[in-house]
Amino acid sequence: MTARSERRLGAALVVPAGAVLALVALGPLLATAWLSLRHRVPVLGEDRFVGLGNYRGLAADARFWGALANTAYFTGLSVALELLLALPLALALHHAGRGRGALRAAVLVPWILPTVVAAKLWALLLQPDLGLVARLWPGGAAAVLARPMLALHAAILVDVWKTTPFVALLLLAGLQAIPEDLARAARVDGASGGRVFRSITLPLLRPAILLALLFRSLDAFRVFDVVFVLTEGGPGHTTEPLSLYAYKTLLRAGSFGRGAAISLVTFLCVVAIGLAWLSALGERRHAEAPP
Amino acid sequence: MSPRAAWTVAVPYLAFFLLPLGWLALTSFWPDAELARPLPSHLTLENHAAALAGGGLARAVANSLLVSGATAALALALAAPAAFAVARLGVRGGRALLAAALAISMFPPIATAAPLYVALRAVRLLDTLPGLVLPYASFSLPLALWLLTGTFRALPAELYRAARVDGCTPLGAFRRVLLPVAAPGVATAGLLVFVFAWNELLYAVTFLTSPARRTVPVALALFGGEFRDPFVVLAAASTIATIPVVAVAVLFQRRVVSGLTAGAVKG
Amino acid sequence: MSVAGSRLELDSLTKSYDGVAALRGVSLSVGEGELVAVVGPSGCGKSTLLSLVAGLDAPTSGVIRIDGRVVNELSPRERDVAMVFQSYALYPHMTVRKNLGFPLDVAGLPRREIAGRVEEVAALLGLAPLLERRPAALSGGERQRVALGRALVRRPKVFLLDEPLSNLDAALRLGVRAELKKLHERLGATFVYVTHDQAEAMTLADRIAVLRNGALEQVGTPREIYGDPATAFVARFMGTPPVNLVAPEVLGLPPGSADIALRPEDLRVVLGEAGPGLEARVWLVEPMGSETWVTVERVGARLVARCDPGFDAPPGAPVRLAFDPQRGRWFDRETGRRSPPPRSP
Repeated sequence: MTARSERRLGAALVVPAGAVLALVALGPLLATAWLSLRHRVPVLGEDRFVGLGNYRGLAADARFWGALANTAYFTGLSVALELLLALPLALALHHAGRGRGALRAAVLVPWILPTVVAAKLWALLLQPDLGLVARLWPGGAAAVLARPMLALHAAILVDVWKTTPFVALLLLAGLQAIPEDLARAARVDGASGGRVFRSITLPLLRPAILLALLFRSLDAFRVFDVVFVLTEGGPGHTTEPLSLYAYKTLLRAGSFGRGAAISLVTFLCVVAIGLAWLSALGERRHAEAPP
Repeated sequence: MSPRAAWTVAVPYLAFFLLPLGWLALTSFWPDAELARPLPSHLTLENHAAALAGGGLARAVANSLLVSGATAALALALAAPAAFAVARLGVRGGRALLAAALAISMFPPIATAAPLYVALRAVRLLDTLPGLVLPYASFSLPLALWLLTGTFRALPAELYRAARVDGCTPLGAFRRVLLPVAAPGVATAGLLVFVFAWNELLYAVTFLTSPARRTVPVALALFGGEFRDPFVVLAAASTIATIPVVAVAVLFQRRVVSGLTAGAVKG
Repeated sequence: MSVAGSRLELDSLTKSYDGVAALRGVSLSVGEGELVAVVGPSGCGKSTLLSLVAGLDAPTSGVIRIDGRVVNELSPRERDVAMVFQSYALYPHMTVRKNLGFPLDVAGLPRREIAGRVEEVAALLGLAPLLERRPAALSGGERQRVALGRALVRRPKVFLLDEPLSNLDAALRLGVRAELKKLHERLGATFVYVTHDQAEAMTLADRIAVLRNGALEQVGTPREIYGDPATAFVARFMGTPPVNLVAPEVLGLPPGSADIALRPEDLRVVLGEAGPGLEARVWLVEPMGSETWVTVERVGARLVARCDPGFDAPPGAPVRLAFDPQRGRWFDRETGRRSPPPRSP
């Protein structure tokens, strides 16, 4: 078999995966885009082309802007907190000697739980009478989930609790990629531990940090599970993120066109965030490339 | 940072992560009648029984096992040959495929939910478990593809060439040499896909309507309404729901961590 | 156990990757039972050459013939060539027995015959006690023997060896080198042996092909390559310590368009201020045990000579340098090609 026929075989092997991706992922996305240009409520039997009408409706929709604000706030705060908390944890994971396996297993558990469970767990923890928080600080947890601002922060807390380990693991991978000799050379040159961290570790960790920020902001912007379980977007719509708004519009209100429009806007925002971070990553790479 | 300092830093994190879970487990054994007390007088399994039976959790676990297992199998069956082709056979556009896969992994699931709903309904796969497996496999393909491509790339190039010189066809070399040697990486990818499928909520809640078909996340999310005083039973249900994945974390910790970090670093 | 060797002919082989030529018009023929060593610095294209012969890669142009039959379109399996890789490429998930039997298994031979041949090769290479082990449990030398065995078991027409010794410890290397030579004599098979180590090539090969930047500089017996190099590159590449290639003025000869090359063993260095020969100063003394390498400096150039083991002098000591001009080989300064000695006035 020559090299050419090897390549042909390779193409054949790739087709099933590519086909599934195109059919089940790409296709529906395009369908959603098309759907967003229609007014379609199957239950009422309505289905007609409205062009950008759905989008115009969204622009005037206070609930949409609220959802966007909620999503942006959720994303910004979660990601920032997760990064700040994950860095010390990553360092600890990196330098833990014995029992590092057990430490990692323990730290993995919150991340590996279904988000639903994490959300239910904290719902129980924050339960006004019976929750752990209420037991330890009587009167403190009173109806956290019923207060708009507090409820959103509760959702952020759950996300931080669950995802900090993941960010820590990403940073750990970055730490492990830094050659040990660099820190040792710096020590011989007289640098203190803190100085080594600031001048050597942190700069070399930048790609990993940017990568973590990229993945996490993409994920956080798409938040659904946590809020669905914790508050269902309530009280009112004060904790409702874009994904949940789209879900409700699609399946509760049965308005497919509108729901599709919200979904597409979410998608475009995610793409924008992704591109922004990727270009930041790219710049980093170019700046650090050898002359 | 010395190991001791590392552990000193780690302890507050461990408390933050594990104490809530510990409390959850404790609560699950708490007799309903003694809720008002600061601590229970004895531990009971009645909550768990109630969760499994009345709450339909047992069936949900069975459903989840089925769906997650099938998803992992399908994702691996699709991704392994493709990853081999990209890593070893020099397919043109291999990089494009991986980039497309990465882009697809950035989709908000909600963006594809509506057309998938319509499509599934059209082929009568709505509210069925198989109807869930294909979208799940599709959305975990990017992860599987990235992990497996990395795995196959990391194998020494000469293994494939030696197998060819020894007389294998490319597929023969894949089956007899590369796949067995890549088994750990394949297991890792399978594990991560399994976990992803197990934890997924949005599609499950959108495409499954009857209670009998629910997977664990759905059963748990919709748990509240069916009980009058669900607190301890909910705790029991949640605890039960954590057992499989906690087992995975403990048993396969090294695999999961390497899979996560490898997939991320390659990205 | 002897294997009839095959004739291998490479006809104007060219291989380009993305416009960069790795091999340029290489023509070489290897006779039945010959061991031809292909040497050259890294990046010269020797591994590419092997890949082409094995069928792992297709040439951009040119023909490969085995026993007169064109094999360009044949897969590795169909060509009946075996290859020993630099990293051995042992299958980590199989025992030594399974590794050895793998090619036969792929070819569909009956189990009994596979077992028979595996035992035969294991006995030949001293692998019998290791048959049930996995590669990870073997030493470097043992792994190398398994790689060799996996090639032997197929009784192929042509053996291709890609730097088989370079991953071994220096101490092991010499012993295995000798074993390889005996093995080749015993089998009578055709070997194409790629290496960057010219000493290996000198000791093992029936003929040596010197490759540089994808093209053949010279093909000949070790004696021809060493004593009669066709280009300055070949002269410099073969031999340790390297040949002295200098402008004729350095040695008191009339200037010209060619440089003269003298082997260290053809220079005589005598301590002292006066006497026959050219004046020079000691620059470096390297005692090797059985001899001493002395580097001397003269009119800004340095030359290495082989001296008696007893030679000793501090840097800067004056010496007299003597040589026989007939032993020198001349190379055109511009082209590097061999040129005839200039006529003495």
